[in-house]
Amino acid sequence: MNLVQEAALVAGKDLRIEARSRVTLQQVIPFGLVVLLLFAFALDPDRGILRRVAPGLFWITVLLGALLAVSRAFAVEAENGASDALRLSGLDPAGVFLGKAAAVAVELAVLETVLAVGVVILFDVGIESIGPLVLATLAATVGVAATGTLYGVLATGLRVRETLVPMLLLPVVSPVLLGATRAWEAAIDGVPGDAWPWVGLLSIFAVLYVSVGMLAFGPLLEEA
Amino acid sequence: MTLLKPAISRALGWATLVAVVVLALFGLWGAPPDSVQGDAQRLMYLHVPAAWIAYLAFGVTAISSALWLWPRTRSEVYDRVAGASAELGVIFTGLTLVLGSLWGRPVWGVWWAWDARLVTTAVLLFLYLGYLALRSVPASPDARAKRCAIAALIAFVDVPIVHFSVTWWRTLHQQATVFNPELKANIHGVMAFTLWFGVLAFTLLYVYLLDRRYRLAVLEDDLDERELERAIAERVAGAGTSVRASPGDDADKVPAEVTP
Amino acid sequence: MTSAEFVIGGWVLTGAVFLAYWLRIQQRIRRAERLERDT
Repeated sequence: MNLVQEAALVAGKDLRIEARSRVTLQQVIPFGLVVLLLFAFALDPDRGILRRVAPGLFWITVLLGALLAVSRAFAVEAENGASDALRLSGLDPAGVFLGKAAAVAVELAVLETVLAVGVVILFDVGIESIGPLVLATLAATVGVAATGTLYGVLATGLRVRETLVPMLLLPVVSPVLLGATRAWEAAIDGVPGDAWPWVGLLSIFAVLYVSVGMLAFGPLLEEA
Repeated sequence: MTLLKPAISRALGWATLVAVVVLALFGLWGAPPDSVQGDAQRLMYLHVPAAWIAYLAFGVTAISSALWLWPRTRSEVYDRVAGASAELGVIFTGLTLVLGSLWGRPVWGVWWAWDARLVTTAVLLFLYLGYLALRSVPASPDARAKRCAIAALIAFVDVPIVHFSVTWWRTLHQQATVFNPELKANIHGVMAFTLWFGVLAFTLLYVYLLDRRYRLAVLEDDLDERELERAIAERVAGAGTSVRASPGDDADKVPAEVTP
Repeated sequence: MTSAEFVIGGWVLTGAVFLAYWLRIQQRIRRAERLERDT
């Protein structure tokens, strides 16, 4: 089996588990929508403010959702000692990494779609130019999923995992938050062309952390 | 047992003390007050060197981590240096931010400015804190070293991205901020000397403290290992089995988490 | 607060932080050395 096939195998497994347990659907997505709602409580739905800060609120909510998705991705391995089986399966760790990260990315994409609709409706946002928006979101999602999966395996098995991963992950993905928000701002209210440099930055981040993940996942899995 | 020979370490300690005193003399008295900022500028002689060492310490942590990860150069020395440097790095980074606040307030009237450098330094602080949090999780020395080394490198490759993205973001949004921690245009003569001397003094301080912190790490790691061996021996003896525990046998096989 | 108070405050803080850290390290080293000798 080549790398892509192995990744597809692992991603398929994770997504099948998700399809049966419906955690993303029933918990993470509602969580994200509640956060959007809370932002409205916190910021006073004077339509002006929410509309202006909508991109930022959207991406912060996505990041918070990502913390849950990553936590879930490794919780399923911890159950029933599956991570030992994963280690001994003979699968290339890089493939396992790609698979798990891909599954997280898919879940995030679903979350983002729902939240985007939420943002358009709740915060009265109109989308000017969808191209840069979608590409920025894609790159950002891959970057966050890769980095999250990396920290997920790093902290797997540790009792403090649940509080550790958020504080490790968020500073590292701060450029993603920055770039994605700026790209969305450009696509929504500004000059859409301004978004492209940020798409570039997000892509570099994604490529970088996918690579780091492929290299580091194996060694980290050994310690899990 | 230490990074430097004891005699050198002692000499370095004294040299650091002298350098710091000289810096204080120049910084607080010898150098003239700034034409624009007045005396408040004297904080720059601490803030800038602190920032310099904050990033230097981070680099040392990253390089040490890489050296540990590379099988041919793997040694517990590098792991301990990485940890010690990170602890120092947190202190220098925190100090950089606080001194920046203390400097900014009288000069620009604000405790904080969303200036690219300050923001990047703030992110650096959190990267450090994350590393130290990871390091404090109980684990076998090898597991801890591996996790921390990889975490350090993940953070290290992030810093340029953070710096670049934040710098770009803030230059695009160059609003009313006149906050310019550099003001290099005004630095010359005694002021320039004091600034560079500050960098020197802080570097000496960093190296000296690194050596001391390293020694502490060696001592405490040794103590932990001996505690562990003793606990294992007691457990085995207490179980009343005839199996003898020999130190070094079980030390590698402890579970990833050990409660002391 | 005048400028001077910020400046003095900053310098004193810096000195205090490093002094405290150094003292703490020295204290822990001496304690560890003592424990090592005793075992």
